[in-house]
Amino acid sequence: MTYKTILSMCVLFLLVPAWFGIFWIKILNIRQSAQAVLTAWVLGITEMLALGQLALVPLVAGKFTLTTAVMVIKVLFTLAALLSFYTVLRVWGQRFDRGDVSVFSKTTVGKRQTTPGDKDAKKIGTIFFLLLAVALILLQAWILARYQHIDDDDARFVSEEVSAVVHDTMLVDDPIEDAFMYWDVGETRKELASPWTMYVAACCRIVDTAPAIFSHTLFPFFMILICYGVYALIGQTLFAGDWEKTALFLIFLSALHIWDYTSTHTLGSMLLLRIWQGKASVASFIVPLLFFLFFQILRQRETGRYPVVLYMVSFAGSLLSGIGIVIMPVLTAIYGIVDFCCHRNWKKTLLIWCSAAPCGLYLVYYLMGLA
Amino acid sequence: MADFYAIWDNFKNFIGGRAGVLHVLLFGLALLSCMFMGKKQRRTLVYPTVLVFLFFFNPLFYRYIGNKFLSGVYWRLLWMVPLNFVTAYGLVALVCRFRRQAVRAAAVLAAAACIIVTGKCIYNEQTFAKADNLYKLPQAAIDVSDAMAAAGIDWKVRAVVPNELFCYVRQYRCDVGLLYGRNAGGFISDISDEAKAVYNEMCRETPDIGLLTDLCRQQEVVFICFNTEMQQIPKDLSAYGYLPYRTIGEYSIFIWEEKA
Repeated sequence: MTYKTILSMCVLFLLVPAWFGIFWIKILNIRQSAQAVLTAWVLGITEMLALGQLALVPLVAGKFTLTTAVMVIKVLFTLAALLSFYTVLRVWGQRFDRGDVSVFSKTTVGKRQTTPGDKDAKKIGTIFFLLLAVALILLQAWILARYQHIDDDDARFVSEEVSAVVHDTMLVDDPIEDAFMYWDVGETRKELASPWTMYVAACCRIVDTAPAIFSHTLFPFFMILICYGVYALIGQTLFAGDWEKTALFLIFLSALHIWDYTSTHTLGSMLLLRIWQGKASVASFIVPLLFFLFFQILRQRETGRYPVVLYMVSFAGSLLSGIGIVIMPVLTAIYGIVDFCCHRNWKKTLLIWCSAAPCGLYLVYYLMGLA
Repeated sequence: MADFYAIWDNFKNFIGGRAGVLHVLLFGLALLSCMFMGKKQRRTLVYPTVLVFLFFFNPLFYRYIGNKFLSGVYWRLLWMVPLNFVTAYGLVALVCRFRRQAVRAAAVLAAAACIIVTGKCIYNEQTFAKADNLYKLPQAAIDVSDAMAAAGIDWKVRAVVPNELFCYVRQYRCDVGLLYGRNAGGFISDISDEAKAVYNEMCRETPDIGLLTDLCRQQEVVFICFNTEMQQIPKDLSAYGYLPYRTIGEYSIFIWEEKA
């Protein structure tokens, strides 16, 4: 592993998603700066996954090479980056016309009326709890990047990635025997609908590293930060922008995750033991992201723009795992019902339900593969 | 009723039986307090959670969908329950009732202690170890597969390795194909009767070398690797068509004489 690899990972999982996300914060009209940065990062990652799903399913079905897939993914990423560039130019153009040169507009969201003495104590408390939360999150990411946890499920996932990278194929090699095996036979039939391993193989090509190093060392560090980014957004939503409460929320969540080893199936186990596997990323990233989006949707009587993001999450969840394809429509159906009971807006409810349509299509194929 | 018990087993499996009961109890208390906090909390946290539980414990859904398509992994649907963040939300609401910062900090410590006492730490000797290498795979698997590939016999060779290595060889390099791997335990794909017979012999402390090597030759296995600390193997297998190739620690590798 070289500095070039680490730098490439930082670009792929920090800079590129944050840049992609600029488009979404403009669409969703998010004004608070810290929340905007977090939202941009999280939705940027989601956009990358969704683009991966859109590119990989037809390419795997058409038995294209991994090189072709990497090329197509890079083209799609470039188009998304250009879209964000256009968004930035438009926003700056409008601000220049108004004579406002700040990057994010100033807002009073989350600020409360307090006396000067209270204000100082609260500020110190907020900084202390925020630092503690950040330290705990970094510790969790560092442990997974530094130490070794072995999971036998990788015998399939990482092996498929190694075959793809070395043979320049996609899901045509048996992960154990290495015999030629079409994608629509056996277990790999399921993976046409959720080609997460091929997305990882493409990332390995882009950052130029071995799949085992990518999955076991590099990716978990970034993914844990991203997952807590989603939790921070949930905290901001639940506590109306109060950073002290959000920090406390993250501290308690960290403690709950670290002391959640009552079975290997719990959310804590998924997040802190095998986050590199698609199903663990569904449990720790996609499901909390859906909660965040549904909280935003439930707050508004009108339809708003958040349902648009749901469509993107639908593709991203499908890429990660078969369980993502199952969970998305179920959660969408449940929150659709809750939203209808709250707001009695059929149009909005239908729009929420329709956002699971991509998953619905993949679900039909996934269930056909299992039948 | 049988369906309900099966669902209940899935639930117990998910929380980890008695070990997870206290965390679930904590979650239940947090959810109950959310119920009385206000309309916003009921809408966002309580009602969806109740609906997810109703959905999960629905015997009809389990019988026709869960049992058929999510057999063995039905518990994964419980990921839709916001267990941890509802608990965290409840604890934050409780802690923030204290206005003075010092009291609040003490309350945070008390709440964290409550989580620690009721749970089980994920960082222990069973789950994490010092990394052997950057790949985070057993070093023996890397050394054995490197040795096999270094023979330069073909672009891909078939091998049989001890059970403790078969999950890792192909995570490192794909020019070593295995006669069987994790599929011997019923995962990924079915294995042939011959591969099953070889696996059975490799599981024994004193394998029937005649039978094992016969089957391996039939299956064109180029390398056989034994763990000599766990298995009693003759030093010379040339009578069976396999020559000593390399010894790496406790692992002895033999090569098929036709390919040597």
